[in-house]
Amino acid sequence: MSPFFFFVQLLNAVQYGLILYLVASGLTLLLGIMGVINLAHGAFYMVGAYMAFAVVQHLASFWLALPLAIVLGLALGALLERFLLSRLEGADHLSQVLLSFGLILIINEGQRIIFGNDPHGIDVPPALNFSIPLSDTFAYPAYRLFVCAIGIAFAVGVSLVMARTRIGMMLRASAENRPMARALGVNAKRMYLGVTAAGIACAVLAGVIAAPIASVYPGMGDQVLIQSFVVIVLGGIGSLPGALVGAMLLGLVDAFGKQFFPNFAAFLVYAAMIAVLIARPQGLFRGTGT
Amino acid sequence: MSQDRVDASLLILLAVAALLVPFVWSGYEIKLATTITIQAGLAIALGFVVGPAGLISLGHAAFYGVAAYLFAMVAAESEPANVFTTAPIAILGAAALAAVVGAVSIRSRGLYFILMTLAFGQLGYHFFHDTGIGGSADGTYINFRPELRLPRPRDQPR
Repeated sequence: MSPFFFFVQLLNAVQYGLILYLVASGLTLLLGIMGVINLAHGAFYMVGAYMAFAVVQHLASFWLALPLAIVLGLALGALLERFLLSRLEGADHLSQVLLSFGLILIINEGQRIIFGNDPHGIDVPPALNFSIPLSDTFAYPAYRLFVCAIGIAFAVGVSLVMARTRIGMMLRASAENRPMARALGVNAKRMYLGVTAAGIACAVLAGVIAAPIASVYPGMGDQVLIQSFVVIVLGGIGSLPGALVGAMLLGLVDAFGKQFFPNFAAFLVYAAMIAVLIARPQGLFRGTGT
Repeated sequence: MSQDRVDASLLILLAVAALLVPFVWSGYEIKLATTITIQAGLAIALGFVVGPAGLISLGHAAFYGVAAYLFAMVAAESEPANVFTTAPIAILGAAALAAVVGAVSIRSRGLYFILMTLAFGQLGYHFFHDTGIGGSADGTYINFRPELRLPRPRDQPR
């Protein structure tokens, strides 16, 4: 195997893993801090991808889609928390599952009505539509490196916020012990609103930056949602560093597993998820104490 | 009349109506009634798990799929399968699998049970889709419409 081939696959793994992390970080925060299981997270990823498609079509600029994704995601997340999730406080998982499953149906049907069921490709923005040569035969698309850059900036930013800021401290405290954090003066209402808005914005943004690579099609969020669940189970529910490691693992399996044992890669991923749930439900990388 | 008796009479009425369908209607309507019956069966099964047991399973349809694959695998290739001999194998096979999956999943609670059943559902999907056992993305076929007939010696499943 050529070292360049290996390197290209490694870059693909990192790039896919970072997109997964963008989606899974919101999912794991919603679960860890609010105890909300949001099955519609993948549907919001799809909303982002279709929004990118619409923006490229009508405004002829991919770049506009990036700030719009954040604005749209924050707005959708705030509406979701304010009008739906806040009513479910203290409700059981069944209500959450049914609510978010209903959201999936509504979003899917909305997509069908507005865009139809045909898959669409999105052109890579012209400024990044070139490849960086690695050797005589291997080159790597600049856009994928751009995705890596966004993902790394996001991961670094998130870990700085979590480690250094007051908000990060409150988030970590809430993920560890919700009632205690509340008793010590964490404003749960504001935090829930912020977490949901930020989490949905991340999913929408991930959909936008993945759109030129993955193209845009109905149900594109399903696979991402399920893989995000694998990521947060591997990393431990509520843990952002765990989600990053889990996402990288899944990125590696996706890039190399499909090359070397395509028949068993996905099967092994879910077998591993079950094994972790049985043996280490707190996640692979956390001690039993925390 | 008590509520129970009203429910019971409604059920009997429905059963009689279902039995009359093939005599009153034909073609498309029978197909539609069949689909309704199958979907109702799946919904009742899920309702049984979610309702009285209070367990949220995201992998419930996997057993529906496994039973279907088993039926297709056991069914004779060159003649109509006999439902009386083929269906029990599919049902018992799926039930045995469900017993194993259930025994493992039931040890986790709440959120973890939901994620566990999600993982088992995906496991089932990829088992038949990726490994070539179930005909990959093309699926597998039952070549002849299965028949309801009493087993005769030559009708033994192959």
